[in-house]
Amino acid sequence: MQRAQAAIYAALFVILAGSGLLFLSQYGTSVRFWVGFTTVYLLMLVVYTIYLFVLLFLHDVRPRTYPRYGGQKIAVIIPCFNEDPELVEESIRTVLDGEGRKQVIVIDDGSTNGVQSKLRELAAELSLSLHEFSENRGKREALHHAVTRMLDDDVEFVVTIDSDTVLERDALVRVVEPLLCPEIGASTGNVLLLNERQNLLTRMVGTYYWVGLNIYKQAQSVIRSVVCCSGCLAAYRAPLLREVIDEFAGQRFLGEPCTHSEDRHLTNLVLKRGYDVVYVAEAISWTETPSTVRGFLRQQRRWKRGYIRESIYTLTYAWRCKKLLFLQILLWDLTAPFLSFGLRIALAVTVYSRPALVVTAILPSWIVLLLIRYIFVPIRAPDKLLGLLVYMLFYEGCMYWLNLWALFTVKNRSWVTRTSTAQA
Amino acid sequence: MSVGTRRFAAAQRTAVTTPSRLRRLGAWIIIVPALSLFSFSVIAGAAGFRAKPDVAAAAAEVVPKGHDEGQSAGERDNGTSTSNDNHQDPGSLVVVDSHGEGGLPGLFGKGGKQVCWISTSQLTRVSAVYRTSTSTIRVGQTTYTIVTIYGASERDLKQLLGTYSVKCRLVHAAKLFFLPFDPNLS
Repeated sequence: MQRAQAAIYAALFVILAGSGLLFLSQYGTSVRFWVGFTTVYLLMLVVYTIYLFVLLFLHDVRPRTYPRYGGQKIAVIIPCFNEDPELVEESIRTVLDGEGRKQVIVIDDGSTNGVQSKLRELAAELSLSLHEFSENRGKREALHHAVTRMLDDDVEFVVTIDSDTVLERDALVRVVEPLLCPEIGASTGNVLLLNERQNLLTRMVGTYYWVGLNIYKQAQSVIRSVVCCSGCLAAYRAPLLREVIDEFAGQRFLGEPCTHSEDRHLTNLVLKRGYDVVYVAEAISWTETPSTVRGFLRQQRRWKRGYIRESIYTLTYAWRCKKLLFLQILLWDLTAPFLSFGLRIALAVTVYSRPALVVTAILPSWIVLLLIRYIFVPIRAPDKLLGLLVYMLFYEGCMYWLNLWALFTVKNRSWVTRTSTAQA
Repeated sequence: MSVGTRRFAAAQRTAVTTPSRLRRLGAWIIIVPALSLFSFSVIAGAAGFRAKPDVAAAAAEVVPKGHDEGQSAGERDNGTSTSNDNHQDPGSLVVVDSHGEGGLPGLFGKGGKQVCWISTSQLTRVSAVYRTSTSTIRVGQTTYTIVTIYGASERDLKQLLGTYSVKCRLVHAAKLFFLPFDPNLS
């Protein structure tokens, strides 16, 4: 496994270098190779877009329905580290007020901001189990502790939420309903932003979330292979979670222990065992996003590293049980960001050497193509149109390059948005 | 701002509204043609990589006004007369690189061309310094001589002639959409 991961990781550098060399080849030898490469890439773009649209069409024609919740016991695990006390209280109260028969477990992961006293108050007042770590050990350890030592025996489903997430009243029962189908091992819910209206950045992030959930995750759900059950709201079969939790807590990548992107890895472990994973748009949670560019980029740096690491992991097993997922990850999710490196350089060079073309040609063409490719935004969430345009500019100018940064630092264990490096 | 207030503010803006099934399906009337247009435009753009640069369009912009007045296509196409010996305004179309050889612009300017109009005497001076070749090009109803100057950029040309009044135009490749990955322009 480690060897396969190392080989795929090395292949990503080859793809990156190959793309750069193809870009340079037009100046040294012939433009022929570059033309062929760009043509193939653009065809890949078209095929992938059609693939996504076909999946979304299938979802619209035959939306999936699940059995109704029948009173099964749900354990809700809320790991907490240095969270805003007001927000964590709101989070816990919305869980307790929500529908469903529940066991609520809160793990304080060595917080140092005084939130423990708030948690102790709530534990005394409300029906919840609180466990405190004396020092920060990370989210994996918190989940591991809760699953191995605190779950009631009659729990059938486990829901994990972040301590800054508040839930709609029916979110818990909606998110566990797919698990009543025996072939589904995990499910994930919808995430909306508490602070979307705060500034232009948070509006942009709101669009980023909307596209990620309602286009990409929804399409993955049609083939029952959602690649990431969001930390904000995810549900697992309790026996399955007990089965994978040790492997989850002990994950290593290229010899290094992993400390972040635990939600994506937990999903991988479920998919790897042949279970389906689906997305439930009706299970709604609310969370906060960083409201500064610096904070957002820090979060994205961590997510991009996890994205690369876990996509590599997916390739090591998916061909056996999820062939469409394998092809999607291989041909697009993992390869495209590095394959398009030369194309991004070409774009940057064009902007530098022919700035007039930005206004007269690049931007108009880009906006038209963007609106067509993301046509679901103007049709289904027209209020996010501005956010989409800002996001795509931000992506090309900044976020795309984080992929390259992440490739070179994928083994880095730091959390980067929090003070401790152990928290995941 | 309290959580309750934040939540309320967000709820106003992003509350989930699940469109009816009919409405969802109806949207595909727009989505399918849009996807077709997207696919067509991207493929057409890719095919456009092989499109010939539109030199004639650029040339039409630099030929002095009235230069071809009174000259029929037949007169210009008879193979014995070129724009160089035009009695009204002797001159010629020339093709040079967009950028100089040095530095980043030089590296990335390759592949981009400019069409300029210079007088016959200026062409003589240029030909003494740079290697040239001559061909003809049809602009509208008129055929002109066009001289390709090897190794010279627009800036070199203007420096050599000691004037910055030489009129040049960038040669664009014809295509449906401009894609930033176009090797003709990057």
